[in-house]
Amino acid sequence: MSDGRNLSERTPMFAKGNLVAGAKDLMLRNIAVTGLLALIIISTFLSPYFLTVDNIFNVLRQWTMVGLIAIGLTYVIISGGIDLSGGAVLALATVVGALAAPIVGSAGMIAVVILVGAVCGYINGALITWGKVPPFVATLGMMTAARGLALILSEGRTLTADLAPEFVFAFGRGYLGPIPMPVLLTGIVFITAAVVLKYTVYGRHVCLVGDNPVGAHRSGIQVEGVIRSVYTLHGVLAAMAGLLFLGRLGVGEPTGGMLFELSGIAAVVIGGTPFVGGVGSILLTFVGLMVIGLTYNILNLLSVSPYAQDFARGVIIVVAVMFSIRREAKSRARR
Amino acid sequence: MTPLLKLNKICKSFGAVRALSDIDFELHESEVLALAGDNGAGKSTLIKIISGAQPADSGQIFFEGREVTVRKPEDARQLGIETVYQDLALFDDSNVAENIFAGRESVRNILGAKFLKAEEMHSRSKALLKSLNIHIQSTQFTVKGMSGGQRQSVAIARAVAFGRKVVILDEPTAALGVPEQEKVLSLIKDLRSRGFSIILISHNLHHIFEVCDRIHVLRQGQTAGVRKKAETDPDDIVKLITGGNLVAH
Repeated sequence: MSDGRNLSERTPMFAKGNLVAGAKDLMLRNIAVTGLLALIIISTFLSPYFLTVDNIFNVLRQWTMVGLIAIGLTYVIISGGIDLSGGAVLALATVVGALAAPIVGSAGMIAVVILVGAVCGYINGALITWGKVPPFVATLGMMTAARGLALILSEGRTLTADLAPEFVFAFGRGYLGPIPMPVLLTGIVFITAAVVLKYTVYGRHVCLVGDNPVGAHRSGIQVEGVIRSVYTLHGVLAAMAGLLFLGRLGVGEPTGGMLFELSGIAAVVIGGTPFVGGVGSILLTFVGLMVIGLTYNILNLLSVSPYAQDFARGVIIVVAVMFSIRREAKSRARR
Repeated sequence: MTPLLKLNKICKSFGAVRALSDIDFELHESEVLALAGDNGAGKSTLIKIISGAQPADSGQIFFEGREVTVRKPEDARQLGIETVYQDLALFDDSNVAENIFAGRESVRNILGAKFLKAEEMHSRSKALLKSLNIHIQSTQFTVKGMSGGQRQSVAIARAVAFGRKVVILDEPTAALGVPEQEKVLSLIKDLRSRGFSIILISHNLHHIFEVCDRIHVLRQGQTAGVRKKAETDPDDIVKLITGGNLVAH
């Protein structure tokens, strides 16, 4: 019998129906969710500091920048591409922001920084659609070039930014009740991105383009326009991560955001979004992000050496992807 | 009676190769026309010209008596001509309703954003499949797991979903099991009875003779002959395809 294995069925939590049964089903089918729950339960026993409001919000705040890049990456990967330039675009955005802040003020700086991200992302998309450069190569070029440009503009130094206190509050150090402002902001972006992906025509077209670009073109979808738009979105989100960096640290840092793109990719694949494109979920990317974040956190709380932490993360990524592919294969065999 | 679709002296070359020369072609209303011919006879080129995938070098196209220009797929689609390609017709990871509505989703505007009307698309898909006697358990299923016949049925349903008049089917029965072939053929007959005009490309003479009203045979880029089914037989068609008296009795 044919069984539906689109994401809404693999993860019925997002479909309608009994929430409890849905959550149970989701746990059984998705290794990332199961892993996250196991991680939380084990960690709670291992450290008394783990399940505290302060600690959880700390972890959430630490991973806001990678989280924003991972949202962009989810769209890019669903569309059948990849983007390696997130960390470098973040760094370039902070440097440009620090240079622009004294001239245009903090509000103007936000616009300038977002524009930098949009331009970088659009160039990626243009290279891929018009230049016919494979996404891996185009964004590898952008990664190197953006980092280089950040170093040129800052002359290799860390730039102290002259920022309005309101900006620092909103993007860096402020709190709304117990919630740090960056977490609130990133949370809003996560929810918006999830809704757009699942419930709007744009999100649907991103999936169709990743699933079957030729078919999408024949169906009248502007395939190349959709591709340029997802890379632009990724650039904008990486620049937004740059704003959080500026707000938190108050500096433009040409070596900032190093390897954030790889953590972002790890979050997406641990969440179970396949590399081939066509399907994916923002909520599962969040789950993947938390698997990484909480693993780091519990290893820190237990004072494990940072070298061992990197080793552990590498193992987790591979094991998680291995399991999710197994599951996929099993559900295919059952058919 | 004016033909629904009429092509007049269509020519197409690829460099030095003359793919089609002076093709005249007619398709009537509520008719199944088979396009037959050997590999390289020009069937695909002719279909691409009608569906707008490749413009013709010269010649005229008339639709419902009016002369029209068909230079891109959008032009053909606007006239009501839809093509079901042999491959790449469907989106594997998307469900049945998403496939049927791909590229023309029902939407509602909320604050300038176009939100999908998922329930409406599912219920309309269900109604469409029911009216075509296509049995698929749920429009929520992705097409990845479906049989070849079910996939072909969804592709055809998608083609006729939006008030199309002409449906071009490229080898719809290739790679299907025998019972599934029969289902697709009966779907084609059903479409004709609903007033659709169908251009069927097939290598299978049994299928051609089972469902077609007329047969247009191409050979080396030229029309080898056009026959009404009642006035011909498979041997005759084979002779037209091969260009000789190869079938000896």
